[in-house]
Amino acid sequence: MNTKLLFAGSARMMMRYKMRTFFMAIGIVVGVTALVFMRAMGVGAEQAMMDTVNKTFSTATINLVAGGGHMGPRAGGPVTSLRVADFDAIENQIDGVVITGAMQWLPSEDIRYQGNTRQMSIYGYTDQTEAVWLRGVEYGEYFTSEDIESASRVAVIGQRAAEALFGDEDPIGKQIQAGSVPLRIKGVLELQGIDTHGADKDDEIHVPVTTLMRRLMNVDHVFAGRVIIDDPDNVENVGEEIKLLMRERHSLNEGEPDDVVVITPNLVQDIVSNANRVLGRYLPAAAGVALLVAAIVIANIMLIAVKERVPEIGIRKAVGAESGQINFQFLTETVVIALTSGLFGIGIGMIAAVAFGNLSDVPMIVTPGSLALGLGAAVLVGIFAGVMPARQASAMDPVNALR
Amino acid sequence: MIQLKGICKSYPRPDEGPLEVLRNIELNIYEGDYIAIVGPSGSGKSTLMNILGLLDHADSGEYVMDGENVAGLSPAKLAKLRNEKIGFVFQQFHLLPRTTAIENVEIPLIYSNADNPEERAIEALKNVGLEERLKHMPEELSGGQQQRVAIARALVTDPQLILADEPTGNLDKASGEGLMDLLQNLNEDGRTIVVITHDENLAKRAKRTVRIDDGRLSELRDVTPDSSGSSGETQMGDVA
Ligand SMILES: Nc1ncnc2c1ncn2[C@@H]1O[C@H](COP(=O)(O)OP(=O)(O)OP(=O)(O)O)[C@@H](O)[C@H]1O
Ligand SMILES: [Mg+2]
Repeated sequence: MNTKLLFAGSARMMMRYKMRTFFMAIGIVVGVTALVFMRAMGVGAEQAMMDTVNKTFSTATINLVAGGGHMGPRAGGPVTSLRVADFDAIENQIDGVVITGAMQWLPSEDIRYQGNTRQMSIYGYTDQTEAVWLRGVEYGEYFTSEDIESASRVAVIGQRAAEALFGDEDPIGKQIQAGSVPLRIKGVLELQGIDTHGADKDDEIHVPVTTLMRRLMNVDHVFAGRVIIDDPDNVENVGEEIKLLMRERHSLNEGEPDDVVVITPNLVQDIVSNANRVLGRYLPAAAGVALLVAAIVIANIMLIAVKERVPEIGIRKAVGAESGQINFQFLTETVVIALTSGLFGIGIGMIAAVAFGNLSDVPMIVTPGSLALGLGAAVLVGIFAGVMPARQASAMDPVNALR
Repeated sequence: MIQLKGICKSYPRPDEGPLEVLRNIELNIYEGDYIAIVGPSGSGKSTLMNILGLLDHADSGEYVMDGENVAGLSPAKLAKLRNEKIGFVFQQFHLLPRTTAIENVEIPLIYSNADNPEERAIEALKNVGLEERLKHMPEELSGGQQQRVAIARALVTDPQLILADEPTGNLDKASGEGLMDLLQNLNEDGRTIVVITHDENLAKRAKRTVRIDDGRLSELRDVTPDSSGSSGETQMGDVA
């Protein structure tokens, strides 16, 4: 077979039957554009979320939360077994631990300053917050170890909270009232924004963890805490050691469930990236559906095109074309159209994604993998849409085709 | 070259029995033959031609081409024979629309591995006197010119057997004459020609004339304008 001549002929037919070619192409272009665009959106969202996670949970960080189940307050009442002393034990007894910090939390308390009252979360931290939780003061100063030891009545305040309570006044040195406890403001916290749970980290108050336990909540346990280790590759091992140590210190028998959840960065990343994978997959799945619809449309147009071309098939067979050669021709035509439209599709999709990313603050990331996916999908659609009509065309008897 | 023995072909009809289009056809075609097939409309001429051209197959009977029974050949082998040995000129031309004369004539060469397809296509078109219309689409050609493109396409592979179904049917007298000369020349060059025609002038030029009537074939020694085929007739193979 003279393939060059066949291809030249096919190319001419596509040029001469422009509408037919156009309709076959347009479906794929739209589908692939959508696929590339949505995948850029999905990958962008995943990356953005991973960035946030990595900022919040540095890779050498292990978080501890009191309770046997999930992060956050438990349904079965608070677990009271996690103590500040547990963190000291972790720091002293486990190799590779650099520093620890316990944390207690009072979800909501009335904070008063002169005539102003505002409901806020109060967090109890140690003097190591800057090292452990990576947050220091913008100005003023944080708690000292003496503040922790003596459970001093001092606080540092988030910037939004400060504005709300003090307006233009300088908060440093001012006396506020948390419930019935007077607190003196020592510093103003660095801006942090909204956290992954949706809480405004600039609308909160920090007090020494001891002050919160003894003076405000009247408890002797903490809610959570954090352990910083020296080697990120070791998080899983250290995590296991912490679990064992906690069981030992809390005198848990074999078979009893853990009373402390040990959250390693890998675990967090797994959870988050799972959530993102759902996002990153459903968006392209929607585009995939568009592409499938396009494929059905293309297959139908091809079938109509084949019917239109029945006499052509008859002629070709009459002058010596074999079924396989007819099949090859039709399949090649669809794949060429699909590939060309696919290239247009990834081009338009890429430009649209980048433009959209620049014009809005939606993070859009176009990866070579997404482009390959788009092109692959286009070719698959071409084959899917081309196979059936090609079969039908090639199976035709020449006399019937010519009648 | 070709032996047909007891060829039968019928088409099923919904309410009646099958329509018998060809009944027990016996025909030998020799190398260098020039046969005219005549007969009334609907008598089965085109059906026989399609079988001869390997486009269709008989229900029963034997078709032997160059010593080979075609019934046993694969579709691919039949396609190859159509491409190499047979040049078919159809009753309705069957040219590809929106495709130039050259491109139409080139089509058989796609499936053979001929060198210089374009030059050969141009050569074939020159032979039928269309050197002025090489780049015209069928839509831009007269009936007679389209017929000549169809003939050029049949000739481009240089086939041994040329089958033409009413080649003069759409031509005026002058172009009809030209076409008859062309067929005669091809036959004098040694090619085997089978032509279906209603035109007695064309039939007269053939070496042999066979007549089909209601699916039965009979060989005529001679056809003259006033003898409608009943005189000098030899029945061949009609056993009914
Ligand atoms: N596919 C088919 N199905 C049913 N009947 C058919 C089919 N093809 C041909 N016939 C019938 O077979 C008969 C012979 O047809 P054929 O085309 O061979 O006639 P013909 O001799 O070539 O006529 P004409 O001179 O008009 O071209 C006709 O009655 C036609 O209706
Ligand atoms: Mg006919």
